[in-house]
This record gives sequence, C-alpha cells and structure tokens, in this order.
Amino acid sequence: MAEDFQEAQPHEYLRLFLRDNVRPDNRAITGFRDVRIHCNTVKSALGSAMVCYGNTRVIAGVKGKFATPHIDTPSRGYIVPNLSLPPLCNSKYRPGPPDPRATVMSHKLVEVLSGVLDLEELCISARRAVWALYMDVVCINDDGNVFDAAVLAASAALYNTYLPATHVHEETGFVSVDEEGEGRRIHLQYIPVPVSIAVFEESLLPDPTEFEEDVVSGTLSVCWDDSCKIRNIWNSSGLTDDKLAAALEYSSKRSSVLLSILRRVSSQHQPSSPP
Amino acid sequence: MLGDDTHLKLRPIESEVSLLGNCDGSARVRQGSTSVLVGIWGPVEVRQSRELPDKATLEVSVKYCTGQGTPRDTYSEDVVASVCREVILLSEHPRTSIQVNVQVESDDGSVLAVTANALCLALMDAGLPLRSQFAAVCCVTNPTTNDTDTTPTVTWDPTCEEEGDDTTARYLFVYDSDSRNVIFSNYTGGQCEVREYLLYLQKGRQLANQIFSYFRESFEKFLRKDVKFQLLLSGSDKVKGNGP
Repeated sequence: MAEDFQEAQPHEYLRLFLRDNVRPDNRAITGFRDVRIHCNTVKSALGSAMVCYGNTRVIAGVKGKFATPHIDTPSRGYIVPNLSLPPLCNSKYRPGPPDPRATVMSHKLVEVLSGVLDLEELCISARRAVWALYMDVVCINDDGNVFDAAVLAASAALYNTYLPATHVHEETGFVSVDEEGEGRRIHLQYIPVPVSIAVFEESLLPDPTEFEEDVVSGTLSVCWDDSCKIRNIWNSSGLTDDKLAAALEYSSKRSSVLLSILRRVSSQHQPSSPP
Repeated sequence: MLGDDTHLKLRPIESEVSLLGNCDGSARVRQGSTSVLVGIWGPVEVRQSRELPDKATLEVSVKYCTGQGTPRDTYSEDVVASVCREVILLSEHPRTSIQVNVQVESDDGSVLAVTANALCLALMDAGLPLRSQFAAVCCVTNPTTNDTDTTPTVTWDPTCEEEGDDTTARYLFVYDSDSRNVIFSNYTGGQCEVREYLLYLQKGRQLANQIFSYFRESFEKFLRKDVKFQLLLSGSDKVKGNGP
C-alpha cells in the first residue's frame, strides 16, 4: 500500500518523510549514502575503479591505444570519455540508441575531465605516436546520483592508471609495449570530486536516490578539486544567494571526505601490471 | 577589476515576436551577431507512449547551424528542458505535449544565453502558463597578464572569439523575474573560488534586470499592434458578447 501511495502521490510521500526529519531510505535529511570505492577491478584495463553510492554502482575503465597526434598539436595525446547507461542498470533505459540522459552525462563528463590531464604527458614520440586513453564509464545499477558516482569512478580510474613502457622503432616508427620496461603512473593536475545536492521545497537532500531525483525541483552539482575550489557547476536548484552559499560550503566539506577515501583506497592497491 | 562595473554591458539586443505564422508562439532574439529563433507548439496532442497523467510532456529540439544530432545538441536540449521545467506550469495541461524547437541561426558566442532569452519571449507569445519570466547572461574570465593586478578580466555576453576554447572559464546564469534567483547556471573551464562564483552571480543579476526591462518594452510595443489586446484595453463593452 505504501508503494501505491508512492506511485500516485510522490511529492506528498516525500513530504511526509521530511516532516519526520528522515529520508525515505532511512537516512538523516542531510545524510549521504555509504560510499564504497574499489580500485583496479578490471584487470585488462590500464586503470579502473568501481564506485558504489548505496545501490548505485558505476564502473570506470581506462583503455590505452596508440594514436597519431593531430598535426597542430604534435605531442598531445587524447582522452576520450564515454558514459553509458545500459538497460541492465534500470528499466527506464531502453535497448537501442543511447538514451539522451547518457549523452548529456557523457558531455558533462568530457567537461569535467578536460583539464585534469596535461595531454602532453601522453606523448610517446612527437609527431608519430601518442596515447589515446578511452575512458569507458558504465553504470551497472542506477539508484540515483549516477553522475556523481560516474565522475568519482572516472577520477579513481585515472588516479590508478598505469601507462606501460613503450618502444618506438627508430626507422619504421612502429610502436609497441615494452614488456621489460617500467611503466609510469599518470600525473593528474587535480582530482575532480563531485557532490550533488537536490532541492525539494526548502530542504536540501544530498545524494538523491532515483525516486528523489524524479520528485525534486532541481539539483546543485559541483565538481571540486583538491584545494576546495570549484571546477564545474551545474545548478538548477533555484536557491537564494545565501542558501546557495551554505549549500556550496556543505558540498565542499563532503568533497574533502570523498577525496581522502579515494586516496586511502588507492594507496592500498598495487598498480596493475602492464597487459 | 572584480569591483568595477565598466565591463558590465551586453551587446545590442534586437528581438521579434510572433514571426512564425504556424507556431503557437515564436520569437527571435539577436545579441550582437548571435541570432536564435524559438518556435513553440503547445499544448498539443501527445503520443500515447509519452503521455504523462499529471503534467504536460516537454519535447525539446535544438539545432545549431552546423552539424546535426551531435552531443552538443542533446546537451543544449537538456539545458533548455531544465529551464522550461522550472518555469512552465506543466501540471496545468496534463496528457498533452509542449514542443519547443530552437534553431540557432548564427553563432557568435553566448548561444545558450541568447537561446534562453528567445525562449522566454516565445513562451510569453505562446501564452503558456508560466511561474515567472527569465533572462540569461553569460561571461568569460581570463587571467590578467598584468603582474601587479591578479584579478581576472571579465567579458560579459562574449563573442565567439572572446569565448576562446574549452580552457576559458565560462559562466552562464539564468535568473527568474520573480525572485531574481538563479534557476539554472553552469560554470566550466578552470578553477573558481566560491566567492568569485557568487560575485559574478550578483553582477549578472544587474544585467538580467536590464534584459527584463527590455522584454517589457519590446512586448509592450508588440501588444500595441495587437488589435484584440487594444480592444481589451480601450473598453470591455466592445469585446463582451459577440466575438469579432
């Protein structure tokens, strides 16, 4: 019967919970779900991570391919992020061409990740070969706030990416992985950490679940960097200036917590050996 | 530089309303050389698979002058849909569809801001129930090359050239006319402190106020030519009873 009420009157359903100072999944109103980060989950990738926000699960993997650099930028590599929301993660996504929501999130991911890497670092041999890193982010289960989990997974995957040593044949320019050589970790200019807070009738609901996402009027999504400065904002919250300032403050505190978890988990794992 | 308001100006705005005969509402806004045309159909019949029992279904299509079906189009559609959902009272027209079609006629920077402005005029023209009007402004900031002064240079309503590439810091703010709060905003392209973001938000609000007065003037001019509206103003005796 509660499910019928939730279906028929979702706003009222949420309001009743908030009146008792609790969220439908039994959290405190301003609480976040438990975060779990696992690194190097995909052995065939150069770097990978799985991030779980409650039931939302996203896996990110970095695959490296050799590519020829653009003529105008002879020593710059590429990073090609892509986010997919397959039908298996939620029945609202149909099989076939990508859902517009996935395309929008992919575009946002491209914006977040541009500037994270110095692309000159991906150079193997100027004008001949550079690394092209394909960042595939796949949602395994969508229970709300997929974008946050996706960005954090992408950050963790990049942070743990280990580029193998390469050998360039002097005459032919043929590039191959050098099995004996020592690879290197990629240096990130900063680690983007996302925090999203949904807004429903004067209440701030951080880390919304799928049900809450459909009901709320807007969301404040911020990507922070290691020094608690804003790197990206998408704000459809409609908050007044002072409430916005308070929400940003709360969001930045959470980003420091997530960053320390990410660093701690990464240091516990050995970097994956070259394939 | 952050403190002074000498850079706080927009390019010259021109607009036309109700220019597309077949649409319920349409508007074209030109800011500098950027020109965007918005056509609105609604409320109209909706495909049963998309029908919503309690509100209107929003269908947005954005087309740029070059390219078709690119991720940029889909992202722009999401921004426009986000603004529409905040502002249109969709629950007034359940089981119908409201179709918003945006055509970017020429892109010389600040496209999303100009789109939002054209969208507002088109929604007013279509007579859809709105929570408030809205106006959008955007700006780019560049780190200053002057050694002594570290405040960045701000350019409001930038042209394509001023927008530069992906590494330029870009802000977009859409304000509502009722509370002047931000109903949509976006920032990318570098590091930004919280107080900087809030400062530009406040500065942008002053420009948005200019846009709101411009909307009022231009809509009043448009209504002066509208026969039905003039009859309504002049006296209700002529309009009561039999229609024209």
